[in-house]
Amino acid sequence: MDNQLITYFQDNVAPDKSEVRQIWGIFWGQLKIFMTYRTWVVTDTFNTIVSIAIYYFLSLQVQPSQIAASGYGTSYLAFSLIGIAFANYLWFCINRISHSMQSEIREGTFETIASSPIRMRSYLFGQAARGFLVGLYYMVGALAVGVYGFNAPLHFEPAALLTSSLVLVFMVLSHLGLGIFIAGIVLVYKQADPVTFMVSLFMEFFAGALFPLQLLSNYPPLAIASELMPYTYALDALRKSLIQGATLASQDILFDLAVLVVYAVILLPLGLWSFNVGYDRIRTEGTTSSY
Amino acid sequence: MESDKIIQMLQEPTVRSKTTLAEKAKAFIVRDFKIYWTYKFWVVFDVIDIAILVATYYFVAQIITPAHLVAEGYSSGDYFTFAMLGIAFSQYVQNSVHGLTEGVRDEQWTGTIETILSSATSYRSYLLGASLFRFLYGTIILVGALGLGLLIGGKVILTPSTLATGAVFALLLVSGHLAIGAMSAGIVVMIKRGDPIAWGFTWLTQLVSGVFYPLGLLPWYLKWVGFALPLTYSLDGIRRTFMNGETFFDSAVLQTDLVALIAFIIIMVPLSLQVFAWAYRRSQRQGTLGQY
Repeated sequence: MDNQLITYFQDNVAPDKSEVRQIWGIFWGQLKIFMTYRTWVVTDTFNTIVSIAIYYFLSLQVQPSQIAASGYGTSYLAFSLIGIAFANYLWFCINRISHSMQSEIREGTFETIASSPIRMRSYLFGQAARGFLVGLYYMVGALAVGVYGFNAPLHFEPAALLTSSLVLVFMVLSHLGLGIFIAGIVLVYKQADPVTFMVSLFMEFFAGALFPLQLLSNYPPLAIASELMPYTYALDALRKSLIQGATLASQDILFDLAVLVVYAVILLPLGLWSFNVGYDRIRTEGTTSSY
Repeated sequence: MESDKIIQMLQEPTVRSKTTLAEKAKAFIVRDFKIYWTYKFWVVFDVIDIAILVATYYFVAQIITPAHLVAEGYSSGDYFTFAMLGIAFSQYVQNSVHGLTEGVRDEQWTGTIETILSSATSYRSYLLGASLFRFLYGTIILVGALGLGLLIGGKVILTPSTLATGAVFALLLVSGHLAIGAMSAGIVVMIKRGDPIAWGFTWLTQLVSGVFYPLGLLPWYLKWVGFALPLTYSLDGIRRTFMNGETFFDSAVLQTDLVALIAFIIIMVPLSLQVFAWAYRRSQRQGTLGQY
């Protein structure tokens, strides 16, 4: 009977099988929605500038020798600027997928998307791409304001920029699985903001966004937790390339990159798998549109 | 015409409720507590949020020189205590101010604000009631944050006179920020969007009120902006009280802080109530109270 009904309502429209076109469609649609929130863009831009000013004034109290001991130059502004700008970027990327999923469910559009020929994987990557692009605007803006507005001493030579760009890509890939996993939680439990919020808090703290990690050495459980965070390695590589000018020739950078690759290889399939489990579950239970 | 005639025709002479303000306030607190309790996880997250912030500045304090603090009159020069007090009290007022505007926004979304403000409850009672639970909740988080700070190394001078002085500053801090919250809520009632005043206030206070650093590090123009905000005086007063052991009777700086806070409250409380009343009546006239 079910099969007969499906056949009856079936329409022979050839679905667009190009995954790239599907990702582009989702990305473009989301970007258009984002562009309607101009006030948000203005306020977020202002927030970014003010937060850099706060770290600038905070940096005036920091003893340069303490930062030098951590091996990242002597400027606390440069140290904290990289820690916060990239943490915000990462949070933007991770949060984007689950947050937009939650909005779609609340507005009742998720069921429509789920019933369309769009692959869920394309949907996720399209959402993520929008997050990466918008996050990039704030991150580049923050670095530019820090360097040109507050004289943060960062290396913007081609080799350092190339290295940090590569680290950025692997940093995102190593955390993308986590974002997709949280999106899976949204599908089933319809709530995720608290989870992403916690993840970002722990990430910033344990990776040493605002203080040198050697300060944790007296607290072994905290030091171990710090070593387990992929963001710790991303931040180390980013600081080494942008503060010290280290390139891919540096063994430290290569080690950090290798750790990020390992995290990406483990977390990305795991995230996709858990998302699919959640997706299948809500389809079986018929709760795709409930919230 | 005709609106008066229509009102007369539809009017029903019902006896107004004799519910006292205290009973209404209690009802608001119970209602907000019940709503909040359905989101138990948020309580855990709020606690973890402030705990991580305090822990972060515990480590940041280890790389900071005390020279600037001592030069600004915080004689112990203990940056962790300085930051702990700054973070705990600024989060306290921010959550409370944001909480009020978010509460109004939620009521707009769920369509209950029109019902409440059309009832026998005046907008003043509504504002007071809607603020109370958030300040009570904020107080619990504040005490927790200070407790954690003291546990991991914060050093404060606790005597009957410093506790009394600190309590007066905390009371004035709350009163001053209730005014900012009411004004912000009025704007939300009118524009049906997020709260630009609460948002601007959060960033401005973090930048110019000396939450993370002493005011002496700011250029003169930002320092003057800071002097217009109640958090600046409250934080200075609270820090001098608990870090130096100063009280109203022996410190001219604390007396200045006290006068500035009282002046702010005298000017801002009636003004903010006027702003809310104006926004509320405008929405009533335009029939947009229930819109979001």
